[in-house]
Amino acid sequence: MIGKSSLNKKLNITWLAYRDLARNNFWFIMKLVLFLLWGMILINLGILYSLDIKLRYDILEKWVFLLILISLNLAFLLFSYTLFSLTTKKRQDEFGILRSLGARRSEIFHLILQESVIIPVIVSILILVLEIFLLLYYRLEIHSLFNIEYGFAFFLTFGKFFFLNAALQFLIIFFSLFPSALYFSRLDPYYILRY
Amino acid sequence: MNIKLFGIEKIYKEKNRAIQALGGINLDINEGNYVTLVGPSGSGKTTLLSIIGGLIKPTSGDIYFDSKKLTHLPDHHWSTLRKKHFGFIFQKKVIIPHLTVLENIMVPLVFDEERSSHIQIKARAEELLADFEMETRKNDYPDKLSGGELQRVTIVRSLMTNPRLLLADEPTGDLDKKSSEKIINALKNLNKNGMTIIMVTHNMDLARTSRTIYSIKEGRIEKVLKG
Ligand SMILES: Nc1ncnc2c1ncn2[C@@H]1O[C@H](COP(=O)(O)OP(=O)(O)O)[C@@H](O)[C@H]1O
Ligand SMILES: [Mg+2]
Repeated sequence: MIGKSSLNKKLNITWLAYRDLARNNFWFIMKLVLFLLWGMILINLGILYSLDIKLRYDILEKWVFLLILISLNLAFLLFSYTLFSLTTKKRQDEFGILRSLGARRSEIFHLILQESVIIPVIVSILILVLEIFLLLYYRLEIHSLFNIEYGFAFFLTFGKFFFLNAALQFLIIFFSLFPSALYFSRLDPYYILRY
Repeated sequence: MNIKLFGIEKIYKEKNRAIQALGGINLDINEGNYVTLVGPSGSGKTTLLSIIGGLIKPTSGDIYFDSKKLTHLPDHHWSTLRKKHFGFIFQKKVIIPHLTVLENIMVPLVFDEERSSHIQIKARAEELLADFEMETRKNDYPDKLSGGELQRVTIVRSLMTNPRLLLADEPTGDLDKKSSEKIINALKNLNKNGMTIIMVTHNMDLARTSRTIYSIKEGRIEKVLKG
């Protein structure tokens, strides 16, 4: 579905929109970086914190991990939505213009989806890679925490967790953007272009 | 393209009231005609133009193009019509702010799946820009242009697909006299070369250059001033 749109064959509107984002939205880039840093710090703190609790009270706080993942996903949702409003909300006029020039509703829908999905998907993959590296980096701590040998079983337990999380992020992308894309693509161009 | 409108009515429904914008319009516009609609603001001119271009649906009444009834055509057929045969110039100077002038003008042909390559599209855009004395501004962003220049860009954009029908809503809107004259001449030439034009304007100078003038009042055609 993505990328099939005839809209983008000859003049890549998606890339031009990103070029504009990069040029005019310093804060957008900063949010992206901050978001990644935040994720990294959260995971680090979480692991150290659980380790601390374990050493002090000899109990394991698994929910800490859960909490980290939930806040990471909330951040991700926020991020997807910020991106969506940056690329889409301000651009109602543009979609009106495209419709008046002969773009179909389905083409606008594809365009919006394509534009607002690419970056979150890239970020989501980056997070996954980051998580795997953190897992490797903390393998000793995690071993002492959960008493799992580093190796296949280790990845079976934690890798699964993070891959599930990545799947959750893809769901977030879709369910946060799909209805909005549908809404914006069905807007009547007349109401946009009247004044 | 001959256009026939029969009893076109448009009622806008708002929360607790209904506004009748058009109250039964009958019009007959032949291929190659240059029609101007004049009338006070709020009389329904923009609504009528939008209905002819398929941007909104009438509440009742029928539209025929070349004796083909289009009233209940599905939306994507209207899109194809707009893509292949219609050009729009809007009251508001709508332009995509993050594309350069040249890119903005190339957008209409991006939808055209089979017809032309990127190089051909660019060549056509540059040629049209030159016709409108805008070739030196082609790499500028829209926020650098004056109102008159912007309007010329939207006109060039509407001409990219070589439309058979041009729908122009107050194309000289708030422009100075010199810019207006340029646009008047351009429209006259396009019509000479066979393009059907339907235009809305407050500007009587501009109206007089057309072949037919209808005056609209309260959603009805009041009288024929010319033609
Ligand atoms: N989207 C809308 N919702 C409600 N009323 C509208 C809408 N568009 C136009 N109208 C009303 O319909 C009438 C005709 O509007 P319009 O076609 O824009 O007139 P004109 O272009 O001649 O100024 C006006 O009374 C206007 O307020
Ligand atoms: Mg109007």
